[in-house]
Amino acid sequence: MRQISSLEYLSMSKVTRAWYKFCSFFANLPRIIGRWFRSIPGKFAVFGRKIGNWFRDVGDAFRFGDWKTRLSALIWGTGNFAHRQIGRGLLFLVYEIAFVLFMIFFGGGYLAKLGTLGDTLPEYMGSVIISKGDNSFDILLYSMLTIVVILFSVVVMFLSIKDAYNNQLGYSIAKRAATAKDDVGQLLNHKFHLTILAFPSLTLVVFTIVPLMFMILVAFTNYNRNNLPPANLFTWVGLDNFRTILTGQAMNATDAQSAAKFGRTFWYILGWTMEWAILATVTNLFIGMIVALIINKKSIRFKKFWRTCLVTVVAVPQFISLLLVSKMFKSDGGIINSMLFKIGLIPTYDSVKWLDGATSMAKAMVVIINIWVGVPHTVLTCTGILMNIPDDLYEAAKIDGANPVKMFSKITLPYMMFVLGPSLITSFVGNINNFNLIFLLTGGSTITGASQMDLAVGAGDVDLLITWLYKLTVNETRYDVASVIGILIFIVVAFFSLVVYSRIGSVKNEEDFQ
Amino acid sequence: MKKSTKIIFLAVAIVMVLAASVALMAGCQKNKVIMIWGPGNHETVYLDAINQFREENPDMFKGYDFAYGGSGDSGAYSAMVTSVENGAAIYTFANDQTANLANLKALAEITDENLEWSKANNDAAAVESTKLGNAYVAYPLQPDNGYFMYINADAFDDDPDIWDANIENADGTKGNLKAGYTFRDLYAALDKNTSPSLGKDDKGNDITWKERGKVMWPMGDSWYFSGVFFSVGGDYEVTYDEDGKQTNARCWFSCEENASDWRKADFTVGDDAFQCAKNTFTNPDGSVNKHFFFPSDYNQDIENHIDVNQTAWKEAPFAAAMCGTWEAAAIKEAWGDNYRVTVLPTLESDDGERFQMKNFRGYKNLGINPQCNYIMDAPVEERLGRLNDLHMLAQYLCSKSVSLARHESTGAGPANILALNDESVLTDAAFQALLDQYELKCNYPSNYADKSKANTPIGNGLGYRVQDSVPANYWTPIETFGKLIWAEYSENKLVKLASTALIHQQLFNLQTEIQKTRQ
Repeated sequence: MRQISSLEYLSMSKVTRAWYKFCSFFANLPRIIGRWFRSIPGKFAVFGRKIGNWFRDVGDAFRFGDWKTRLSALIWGTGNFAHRQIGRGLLFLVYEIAFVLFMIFFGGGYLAKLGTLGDTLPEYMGSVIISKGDNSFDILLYSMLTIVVILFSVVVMFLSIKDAYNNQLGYSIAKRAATAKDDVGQLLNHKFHLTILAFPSLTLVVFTIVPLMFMILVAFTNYNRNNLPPANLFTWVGLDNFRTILTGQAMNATDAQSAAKFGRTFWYILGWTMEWAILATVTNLFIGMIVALIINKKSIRFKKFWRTCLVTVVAVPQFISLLLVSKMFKSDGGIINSMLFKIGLIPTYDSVKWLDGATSMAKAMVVIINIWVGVPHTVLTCTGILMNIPDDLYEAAKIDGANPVKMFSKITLPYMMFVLGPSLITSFVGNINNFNLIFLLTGGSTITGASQMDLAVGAGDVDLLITWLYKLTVNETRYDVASVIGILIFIVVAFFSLVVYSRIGSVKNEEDFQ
Repeated sequence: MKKSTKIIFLAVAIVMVLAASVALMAGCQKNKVIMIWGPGNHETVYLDAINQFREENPDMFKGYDFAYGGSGDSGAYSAMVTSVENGAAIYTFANDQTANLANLKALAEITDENLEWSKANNDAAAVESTKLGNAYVAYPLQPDNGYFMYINADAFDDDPDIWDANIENADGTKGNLKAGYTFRDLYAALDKNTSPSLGKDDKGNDITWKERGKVMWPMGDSWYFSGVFFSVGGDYEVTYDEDGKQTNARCWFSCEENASDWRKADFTVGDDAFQCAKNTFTNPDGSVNKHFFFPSDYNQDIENHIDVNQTAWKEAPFAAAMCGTWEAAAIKEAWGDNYRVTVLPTLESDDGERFQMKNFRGYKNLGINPQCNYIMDAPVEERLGRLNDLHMLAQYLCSKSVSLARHESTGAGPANILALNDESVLTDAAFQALLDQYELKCNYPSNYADKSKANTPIGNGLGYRVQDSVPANYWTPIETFGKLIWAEYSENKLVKLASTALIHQQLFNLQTEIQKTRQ
């Protein structure tokens, strides 16, 4: 798009200006995204340099170190023993022994089988297992743990070498290296953060990072109902699962039809997930904002009462209200239909299929019900912001002769958007993964729509990616494909969050809001 | 940082570490428990029986306690799939999951004297249902996983066209539907019944069967909908090896076998099935009959539409409903003297051929998990002995006394021969109606299009198709097709079924789906 000068811009009419801004946002979008992607290599370079520094230090230690320093790479702690740091040396040595034992008796075995994920099936006598075979699940999980342990041990080894080198240098100057007592003292003083963070970091690795690595790697295996351990083995399949999901291509001819369905289903569900996330976020934001403005108007009475009404909706767990609402909208025997029928608005007691008839109807209904459930949250946030806008701004505007529309668009809206920006991303991401609403209201599919759409196993016509993932895992035992979908959800969410987050005012002009 | 703060921090960290290690240690000290899985409402029956067994055999299962988990028969696989090693030692399951469970190696084979016991004490067909490949992998428990019709006598007993007042029922009541009735006969009878015997609704209007009576059959459920295909001669043949891997699937379910092009294939069976299915709920002009009820959740719907106090009942009382024995107690209580049960109706094609509807006969069996903790806790040489303990217990759970106790408390029909001939089972109308259905003769009609087949048996020639292990990709395509027919007709908008060619295309797809191995 052609860049225009500010003179040209100012000479435009208001409508043209708005249109110009709108167009230039979209015209610039590729550039913004491109810039972000171009920045990635730089970030990696910084990261790489830091790692590189580590290696350089260790290299230096080797080049300039004496035999004690060099031996420290093989027998950890040699450098410490040689300089009478018995405590520290023992720690290094004990850790090394523990590590070697761990590798021999536990980690090594699993790691050796990581390439194939096991090749021995259990042996049976009759139906009873007499020797257990390989368990692909355990191999994958414990290999991850072993890799983490190895990485940590490499760090410890480097520390041992660097420590020995430092001792060598320091000894020639000070003639005395730090004793065990000094070390303990340090851990309780200026290295106290290490002491206090050790345990949390350990749990973080074991309970979060290792399972996460495991889940990601499952996407590259055929861990599904046909290959369930411990009776069967699963193995690596590379990018096959991704290809099936994204392009609908199968690896062999017999699966062609169901693979094509998978591909089609994924794009359909992704499309609806995005539609849903945008609709749900935008409707909630605007309606919530309008309601908040109405309640905050000076002429409105019983403000506290209205707010209490809205808070009540928030106070009841969403899970419960949704289950209740889904019963209310049941076409047969639901209270809504019964009431409409009793007052004579519909011909039979089950004529309106709110949530179990046509796809479009069900989709519209979930958006509307989401407004009812979600608006109170927005109202509460907006009320907080509205009450914080200084009155003098409005007074000044009034003196300058601004009309209410102007005041809203120049004072209220910018204020609100500034604060709501980050929360918009949160709610957009939250809606992409809004399992509760879709699953509890519709179960992910309608009778009519799902049967006419011919979707892949487990998927329904109102499913979001997250509910489809749930069904694939729980009902269909397709952990491999479910893991791929999990990764794709992450990519979608990360993309939107990063692009939008780096563009919004609250991040770019953080200082402005005072 | 101040010294006191640091000390507090350290103390908290130490407490956390200690707490974590205590928790870990507590987790390691496992209470030795043998799990039993079955339907939730069978809990007391099983636990009482097990206590009884342990009193009689005090030296078995020393150091172990028994616990019961209500997984439900259909939930056995999904519960087992998460971890066979932590799964139940003995559990009940619906027999269509046999292959899946065997694939997990969660079923111990029944051999030698155990197999002899199984064959000698149980109904032969039920024993066959425990077979996978050439091996027997479970004990037969309940052969009652089939469906039939519940009839409210009040809706039909005035109509001599379909009602025979002289039929004597197993529970001692008199009068029932004449054999060979069709869905349209039921609708016609309801249309004639204007008596205000049902009372008044909230607005004070009379409730009549003519205005509001409903006939329910779950055609959106593949288990029920399959019956239509089997009734007109559609079928499949699927073989599994002992590991539960599908080795071969032959299929002439909705068109001729091995058809490669839907334009040229023979669709006699599929056309009949489609027409019969649509004629269960439409009038001859293609409009949906107002007496038909399409359930979204049939068990729930039955509960809502049989109870006189419910709004749903007042608006749409069930006059007839297709379901299995598990709803018998509830329906009997709600309908009282009007409670009747009978065999399934006959189906009609557009050419006037009539087929007796078959049901899809399933079984509930009792499996032993050879990877359970009770066996794997023991050293290798003791494991076979422990497996044998579990065999003994399983056989006891299938014995006459336990079968009768189960029948008494839950209405479950037994597979045990001695229990089958017990007075209490013989007078159970619902279970006997199911057995009647199984014994029906099902032949091709005399006016069948292919004259060479007329009057010859369809499939096994009886009122059921055994639900052995189904093809791996079976349930979903059939459910989709059933729902599609209903969707297109009830919306009065034929799109995917608008012409014979389109219908054939759907039928062809259905067969291809069923035939392929699941990805």
